Amino acid sequence: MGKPSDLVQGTLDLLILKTLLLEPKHGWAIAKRIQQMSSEVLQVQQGSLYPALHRIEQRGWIKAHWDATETGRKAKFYSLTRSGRAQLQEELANWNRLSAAINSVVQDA
Amino acid sequence: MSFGLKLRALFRPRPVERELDDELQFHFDRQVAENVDAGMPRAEAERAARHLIGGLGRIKEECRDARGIRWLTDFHHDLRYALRTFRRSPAFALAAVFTLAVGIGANTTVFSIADAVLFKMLPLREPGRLIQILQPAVLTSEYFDTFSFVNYREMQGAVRQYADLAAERPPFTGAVTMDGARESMRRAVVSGNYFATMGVRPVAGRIFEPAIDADIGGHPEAVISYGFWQRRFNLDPRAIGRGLRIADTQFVIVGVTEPGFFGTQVGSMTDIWTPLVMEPARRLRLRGATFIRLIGRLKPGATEAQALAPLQSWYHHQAMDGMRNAPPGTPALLFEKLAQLKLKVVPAAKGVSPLRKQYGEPIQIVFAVVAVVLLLTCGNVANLLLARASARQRELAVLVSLGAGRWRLVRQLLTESLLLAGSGAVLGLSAARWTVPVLVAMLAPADTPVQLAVGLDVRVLAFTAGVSLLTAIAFGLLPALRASRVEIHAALKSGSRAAGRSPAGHGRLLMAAQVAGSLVLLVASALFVRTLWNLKALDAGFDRHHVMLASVQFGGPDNADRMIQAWLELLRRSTAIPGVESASLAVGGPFAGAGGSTAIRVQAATGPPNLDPNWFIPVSPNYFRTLGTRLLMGRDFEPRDFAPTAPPVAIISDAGARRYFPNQNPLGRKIADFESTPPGWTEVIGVAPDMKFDSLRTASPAVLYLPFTQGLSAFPRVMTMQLRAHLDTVSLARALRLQLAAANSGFTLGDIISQDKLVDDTLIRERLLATSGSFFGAIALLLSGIGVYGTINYSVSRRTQEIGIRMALGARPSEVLRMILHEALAAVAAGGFVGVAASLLVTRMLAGLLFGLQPRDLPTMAGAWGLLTVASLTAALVPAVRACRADPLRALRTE
Repeated sequence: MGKPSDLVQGTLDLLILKTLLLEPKHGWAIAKRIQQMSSEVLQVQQGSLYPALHRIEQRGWIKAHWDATETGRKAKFYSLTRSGRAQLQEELANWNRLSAAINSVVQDA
Repeated sequence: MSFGLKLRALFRPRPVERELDDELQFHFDRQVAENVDAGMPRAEAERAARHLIGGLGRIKEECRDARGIRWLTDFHHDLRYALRTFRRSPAFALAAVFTLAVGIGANTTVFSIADAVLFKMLPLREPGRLIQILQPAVLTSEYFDTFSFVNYREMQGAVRQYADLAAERPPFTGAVTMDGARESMRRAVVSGNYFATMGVRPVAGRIFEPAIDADIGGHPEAVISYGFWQRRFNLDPRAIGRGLRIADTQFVIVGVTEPGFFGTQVGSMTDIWTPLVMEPARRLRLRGATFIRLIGRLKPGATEAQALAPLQSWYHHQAMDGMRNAPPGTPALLFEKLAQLKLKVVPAAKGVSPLRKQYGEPIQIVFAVVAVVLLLTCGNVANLLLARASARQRELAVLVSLGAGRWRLVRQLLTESLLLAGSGAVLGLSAARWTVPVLVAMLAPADTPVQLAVGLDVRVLAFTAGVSLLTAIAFGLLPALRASRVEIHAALKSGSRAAGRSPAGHGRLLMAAQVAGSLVLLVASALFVRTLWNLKALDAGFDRHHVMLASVQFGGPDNADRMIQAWLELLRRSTAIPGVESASLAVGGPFAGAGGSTAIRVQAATGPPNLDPNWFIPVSPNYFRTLGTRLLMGRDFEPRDFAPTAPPVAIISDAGARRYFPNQNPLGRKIADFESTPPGWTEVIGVAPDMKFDSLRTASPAVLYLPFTQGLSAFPRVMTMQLRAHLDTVSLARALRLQLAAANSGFTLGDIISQDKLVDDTLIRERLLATSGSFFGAIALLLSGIGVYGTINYSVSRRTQEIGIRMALGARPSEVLRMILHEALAAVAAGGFVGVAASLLVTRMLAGLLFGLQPRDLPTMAGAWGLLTVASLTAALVPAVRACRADPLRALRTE
């Protein structure tokens, strides 16, 4: 089970941005969603998640607002900005290019 | 980049922190809830969640890092920490801040003045496009900046395509009568297009119009400066329309210039401008009456070379005209010289400044001096910090054990240095309010003070900030690097021996460097002081004490005979004043200019003519007696030489005699000036001793003395009266005015000044260097003395145990003393050697400023070295004596 802290920093950014594509989420929900969508392979730790969220927020790709959750508790929700959407597309393209390249190297013909 | 977030984190840190806490808490709670749902009991769920999440502290740190303002918050934190440590040791902090204030403050002061005099451009639109025209002297390689009004109008037209040319009579202090009272104002007389060309707009009323220059005498209007408007009229708009009287003409104030404009001469602030066309018509129509400066602005796209071309051809034309009208017999050499003369167009962005020419070099030297003083203060503060660092080893060790890296410690210590330097700078800046006027006052004689636009502007503040930063690094880096090399175990153990190498090595090096620096300063200042003494004691060729000079103007009719009689009568009356030993008249004199200069030819001379200039001074009888000298040969002028039909006679100075009559007897020979047609052969009747003329430093020039009634002088209307008297200025003025009134010939009295003061005023540069040199030399001596004291004191305190042991083992106090002093002596000697070598280099550059001594003046250097050595040893002696008088038992017990 690879911890996301082993992944390149940019990959975690990509995961976070993708998760936020459909709707705003708070940190816990983001972690759970990534875990869910990767079928439990990727487990994002709080120690890497929150610094990454604050960093991306600093870069202007996501913005935050405090809102009530379904339980009524207040939480900090993150949503994609317009430049975040553009960044997501760019990162996806990069990722596809990178993984295709790696694949063609490791899959011996 | 989200600046909004950064700003929020900077200025509202607590809500931001609280939000982070809440966010992480939320995550934790959810994790716990998840664990509980999975069946874990509450306590275990919490434990598991905590374990999973990991170190909250580090997560928070990383989130804070991600915000990107880490360095700023750290800096803020370091500052608060630094303040706390300084509060604990106030004596050290005060000493350091005060020392730094002296060093940085001195530099700020000198920089503000240097900036205003040397660097700043005029506060005008596009000052880079301003130019000034200069014309060459015929017989020397100097350039003059004055032209006549006739010249100006012609040149203005000639260069019209490439530049707008304006004219200004240099500012002077003159009397203006307003509301019946005589006031002294700084006035400049300018052409109609002056303000427009400079780019100055009126803030009230209007400025002169270019068209007025065609209308001589028809525009009695005046423009005042904003500063004058504020001082004199309190910004009252009714100032416009007020009348004032200058000489015999009534003027009206028509406008006020915008604030900040003080004219085009740096060092002078004009209060009021009047038009050139209101000057005496005679002066405006005479081609040879050169009294105005030409400054202009290049038209867009034009270059200086383009502007020079039409002006040069005009000038050449003038020279050709002059040659065509030259008297026959004028040597071809003169023609050649005239044909080669070229005008110069120079940039005038920094304004015109006689101040700059005079003081450029001395100010740079004073700048260098204060830079050295600053380095010395850095040395002292570095010493203080080094001493303190080893005392703080324990504190720093605690910080290291709490997780601070070495770089973090260095940053902390550098922040402390920055705080010290910053406080010193603030203190120095506030002191500058007093020190700057003091230094400016040294730049000019008391009665014509220099008016500089100095102030705490952006440039000065930027300079101070830069200097503070560099200073902080200079004195803080080494101690910071040393102190941060903490060995935890050794430091935390209770023992006074600080870890690491003995800092005495660094301390001694600093001591030697300080001694070297101070030595250079002391030698330089001693040389300056001796130069001043030499000049003051110099024999100027006449007795300059007890001689007063009074400027007198004849206001009567233009009848030559009557004027001559009036002058002679005035002289008789003045000599009769009780207390006056002797009186005479002259146009010019030593340090008071001359009637003019000319080339002389000798009748029946062999060999090529000597074209070197000769000053000529029209004088009255008794001139030499009043000045306290006696002729070397021949006779003085007598009243019969002043009769209208008297044959022309002249007295030449010794230099002239050597030049025109080498190894011959000049008496009885005939001379004439090159310009007179036919030559007015004048008999030489006497040889006067050489007198210093415009500078004590330069050799006496060749001077020709003539009776003031004779041809060359054209019946002077303004003359200077020399009075040898034992009276003070006020009583003399009163007595003179009485005589002038009694003479009833329309004489008016101008300024009165003593010959002494006139000569002293030429020594302002030397006085500036001597005063600032000795002041800073004394400070340097004090600083290096303190440095030596501090280093030895510290070294002794660290060796208290060792000294105690030695004394307990039987060493005598004198032996201990010698051991301690030996260390100091070695460093002082080494510093002395380096200092002497550096002095030799530095003083060679100063050779041009010295007088009467060589830069490599051994007695001066030896004296300075001796003084410094004695001072250093005395400073070292105090702690040393204290150490060996200490009780050995107590010393042994010290921790």
